Amino acid sequence: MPLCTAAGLDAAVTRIFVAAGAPSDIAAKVAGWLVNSDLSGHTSHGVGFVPSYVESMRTGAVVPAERPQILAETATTLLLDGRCGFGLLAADLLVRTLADKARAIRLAMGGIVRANHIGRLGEWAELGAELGVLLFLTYGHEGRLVAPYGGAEGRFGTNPIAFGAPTGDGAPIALDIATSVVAGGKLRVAQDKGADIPAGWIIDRHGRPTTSLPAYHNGGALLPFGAHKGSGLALMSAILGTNLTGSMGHEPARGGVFALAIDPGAFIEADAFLRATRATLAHVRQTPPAEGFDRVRVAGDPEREARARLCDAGVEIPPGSWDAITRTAARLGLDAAALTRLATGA
Amino acid sequence: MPVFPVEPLTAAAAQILVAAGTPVDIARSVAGWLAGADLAGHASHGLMRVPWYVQDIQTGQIRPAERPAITRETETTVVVDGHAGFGFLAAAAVTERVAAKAQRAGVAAGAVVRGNHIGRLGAWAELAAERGVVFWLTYGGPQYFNVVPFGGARGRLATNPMTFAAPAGGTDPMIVDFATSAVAAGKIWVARDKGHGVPAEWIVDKHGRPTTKTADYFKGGALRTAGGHKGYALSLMVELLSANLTATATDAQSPLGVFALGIDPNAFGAGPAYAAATRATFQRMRSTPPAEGFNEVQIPGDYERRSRATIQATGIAMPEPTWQAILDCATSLGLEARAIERLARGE
Repeated sequence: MPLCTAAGLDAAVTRIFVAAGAPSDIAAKVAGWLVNSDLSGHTSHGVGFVPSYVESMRTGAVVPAERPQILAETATTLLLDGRCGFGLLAADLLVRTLADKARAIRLAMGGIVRANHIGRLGEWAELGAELGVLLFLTYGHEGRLVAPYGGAEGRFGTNPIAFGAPTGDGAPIALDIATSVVAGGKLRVAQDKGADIPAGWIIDRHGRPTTSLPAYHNGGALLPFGAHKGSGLALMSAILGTNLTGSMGHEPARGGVFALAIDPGAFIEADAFLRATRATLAHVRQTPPAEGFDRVRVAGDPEREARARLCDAGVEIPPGSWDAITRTAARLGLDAAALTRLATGA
Repeated sequence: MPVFPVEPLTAAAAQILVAAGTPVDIARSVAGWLAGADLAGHASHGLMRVPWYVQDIQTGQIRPAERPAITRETETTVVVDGHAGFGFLAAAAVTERVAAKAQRAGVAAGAVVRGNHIGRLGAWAELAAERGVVFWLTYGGPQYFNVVPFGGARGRLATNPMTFAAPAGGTDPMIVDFATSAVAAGKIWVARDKGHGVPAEWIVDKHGRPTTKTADYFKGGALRTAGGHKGYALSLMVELLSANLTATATDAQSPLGVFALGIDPNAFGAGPAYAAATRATFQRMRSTPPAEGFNEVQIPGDYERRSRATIQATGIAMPEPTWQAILDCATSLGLEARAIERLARGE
């Protein structure tokens, strides 16, 4: 289990993406976002994705040299074509442009068609907050992972939602939730451990609750969180991300993104929002904790705590994950041992 | 259980609101929105609340003759001041204004301050869908504190609900409407009155421990959030949008605010494709094989549409104690109970 430095891991992953055909600036950016997921404690969205990203580049699902293009733009709206490049590039451009627009004229809305995977959604909520705006973002994709409320069959993706808001004190709220009970990655983790799936996560092919992973794989589905509530949110996420942006009319249709940016002074004044929000978050953080909890956190706190810890301590990449990464690198003609030395700062 | 035809019952409710000092046109509108909640199958937000609103008028919380006014406006934003009148009026005003602006500018956002209670949220999403816009509305703020943050042992949040409308051009829209708490507080009252327990996902006791005993809720307990940390995060989002962005958070008299967002379905140039894709989305949902225990898969909004069709025909049924409370309220305002009863029955 190699203990990697953030800078070393960044450099190693960049080298792999370049070897797979990505321009060096794009490779470095994408590597940075993946490493930041690991640093934020979300291994599920971190460098573990490297083999699948490289495979996507090989099959052409991700065209690594493509850069997002503007399809349509007004004072308040922006529609981007991700051109099947790295979705993270398009998401980054979308959030930055909407933040500029919102700061100038209070409110701006945008979307991405042909987005591909846009990484950890919390990244974009955090970026919006850092740029001083409230940011709401949804990612919708056709999929068969999650059953609608009352259904026995998967009919949508995990259709996640993110929201970030500035507080002026460096500790913003940044939420990032799948509208399913859990993200698909958690089932993989349970599978790797050989553990049963907790009740309430999945159904079998008849729509019956189950804890058996084989029953899930045999035509079952994930459940939406909070029954009809998560199901309704999943539909909202899909309708905004794919239908509103016209994502289905672009070939190939690879997921759509919707984002809304609001200036904190849109209605009243920015300082009043920042003050009120610091007070709101302090109020909930000071809640006496329930049994089994050391304290009450706000969305975004666990990620900030992880970064504070891991930026200095380094990131431990699970051995299976690192093996897969070095095997991928070796197939691209890179020296696996040299890559490990680079990543660990040895 | 007494059952009343819809229009006469609504007229009787309006008469009670008038007796409490509400101008006739406002009383009719408010009674109409309340009856709309009954028709939609949500009696908890319907005419049973008439005595509560009358009480709010008597304490000065609601100033029944006040009408909302627009206090700030740009091409894409609007702030509606409810002037502490009936919140329904301000909610209707912000919805109409945001819808009209969205149709011109592609997207628009609105806020309500000093709004008071705005009734069933889905009503505003339905109104926006009728105008043809995609619509999102949140309602919340620092009041009540009957919902516990995930991992907490004390209530620190309101039920902070949201609603979302997706029109689909020529077919019924999808109307999502839910509290970010596991359930509305009313469900705990109902369970207690029936002597039932509740699922442990709904409430915690005063130590923050999940419990199935409704008594624990009333002894310092609180509601849980929907889906644990997910509903908690959404609840904070609703509070920030509704109360902090609108600065109602610091308004001691009226801390709950409204945030509304309208989007023209053609904002990104996908108008007809949007409508077709959305109809296809609905079809994909409705054609899902149902799980055990379900007859079919619906889209959000179907339940309310069916209730309306049924209840419009059968009338509004009201439990005897609920109807008696309304009559008592009428009597306390100097109205004659028998006259109200006859009016409500359409006699």
